[in-house]
Amino acid sequence: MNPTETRRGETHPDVTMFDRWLAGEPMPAAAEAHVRACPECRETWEALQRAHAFLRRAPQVAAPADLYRHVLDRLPREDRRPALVWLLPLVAAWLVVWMAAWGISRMSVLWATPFGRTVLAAGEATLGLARTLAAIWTSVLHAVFWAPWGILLSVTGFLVVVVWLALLRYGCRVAVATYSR
Amino acid sequence: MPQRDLWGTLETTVLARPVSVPRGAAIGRHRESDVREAHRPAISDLACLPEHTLLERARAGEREAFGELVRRYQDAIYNLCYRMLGNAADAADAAQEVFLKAYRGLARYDPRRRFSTWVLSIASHHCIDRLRRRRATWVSLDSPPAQRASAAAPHPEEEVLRREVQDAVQEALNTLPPEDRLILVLHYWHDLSYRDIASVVGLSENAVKVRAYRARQRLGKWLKERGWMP
Repeated sequence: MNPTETRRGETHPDVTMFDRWLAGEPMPAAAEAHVRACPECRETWEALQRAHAFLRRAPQVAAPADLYRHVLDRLPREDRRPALVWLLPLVAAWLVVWMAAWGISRMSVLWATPFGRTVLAAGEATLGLARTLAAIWTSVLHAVFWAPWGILLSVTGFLVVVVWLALLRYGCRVAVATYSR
Repeated sequence: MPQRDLWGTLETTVLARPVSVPRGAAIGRHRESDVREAHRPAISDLACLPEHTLLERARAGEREAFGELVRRYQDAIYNLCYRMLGNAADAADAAQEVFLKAYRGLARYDPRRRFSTWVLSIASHHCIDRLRRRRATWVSLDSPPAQRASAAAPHPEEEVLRREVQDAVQEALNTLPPEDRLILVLHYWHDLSYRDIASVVGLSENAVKVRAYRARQRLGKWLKERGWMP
C-alpha cells in the first residue's frame, strides 16, 4: 500500500498514486521514468490501464421492458395507512361488547323470571345485530375514509356502542325491578 | 471468443449515434436506453417531480410514486444485478426483489442519504447473498446473455455485436471474486466514489481502494492473456 523504496533509492508508486494517475492526474516525470524502468511497476501500470479502459468502455445492460410492470404488479396492494390505529378502537369496542354480553348473562336474577329471560334474549339478539352492523360500518370506514376521519369516526362509533350498552343494561335492571315488585 | 476488435466496431457502428438520455436518469450509463424507451410506460406527471417528493408520496403509500422511482432506477439496478449474477433471468428476478425490498423498507430510509446509493446498497447485498446461496460457483460462460427486445432493435447486426460485447464484459468480470466485482461495478457503472462504495459494502475506504486496485490488476492481466487488449 505504501510506497516502497527500491535499491536505487526510488520509490515504487503505491495504490493511491496509481489510482490518481488512472483518474487522469498527470504522472510526475520522475515517477514516469521509474515506471518505464521498473519491470514490476510497468507491468502493474499497463494492467491497470488495460482494465480501466476496458471497464470505462463497457456498456450498461438495459433492463427488460417488462421489469417496471412486474415490479408494480408485485407491490403490496394494501395501502400504507397505519393499520394499528384503526384496529385499536375496534378491538376495544369488541371487548366491551363481549364483556357486556358476558356480564348480562351472569345476572342470574334475570334467569329467575320469565320476563327477565325474554328481555335477556331480546338483548342478545340486539347485540348480535349491533355486532353485524358494526362490522359493516367498520368495513365502510376502511374503504372510504383516510386515517384522520377514520379515527374520529371509529372513536365516535365506540362511544355510541358503550352508551348503547349502558342503556341496555339500565333497561334490563328497570324491567327486572318492576317485574319483581 | 473472437479476438477481433469488438470495441472498435461497436463504437463506430452503434455508439457513434446520438443517444437520448432518458428523463430522470440519475445514475449509471445509458447507452442502450434509447432503444428501450419506446417500450417504457408513458411518462406521466410524476416524471416531472423531484425525487424527494416522490419518496414522500411513496412513503405515504402512493404506489405510482414508487413506480416512477422504479422507472428511473430500473436500468441501474438491473445492470448491477446482471453484472453480479451473470445472466438475464436471475438479474430480472433479483431486480424485482430489490425494488420490493426497497418499497417495504421505505419507512427505514434515511432521507439524508442519497436514494440511489441506498437502492444500490440493497441491490449489492441482495446479489452477494444470492451468490453465496449459489455456493459461490461462478456463472457458466454459456449462460444466456441479457434478453433484449429484439423487435425494438432497429439493426439486428448491431444487436448481435452488442450481445457479443456484453458477453465479453461478463466473461471478464466473472474472473473476479464477487466482492471485487461488486466494487468495480459500483465504481465504473454507477459512478460511486470509494467512500460511497465503502458505505455500501461495509469496508473502509482504504480497503475498497486496495481491492479495486487488485481487481483491476488481475483483470488487466487476464485481458492481456486472452489477447483482448494489447
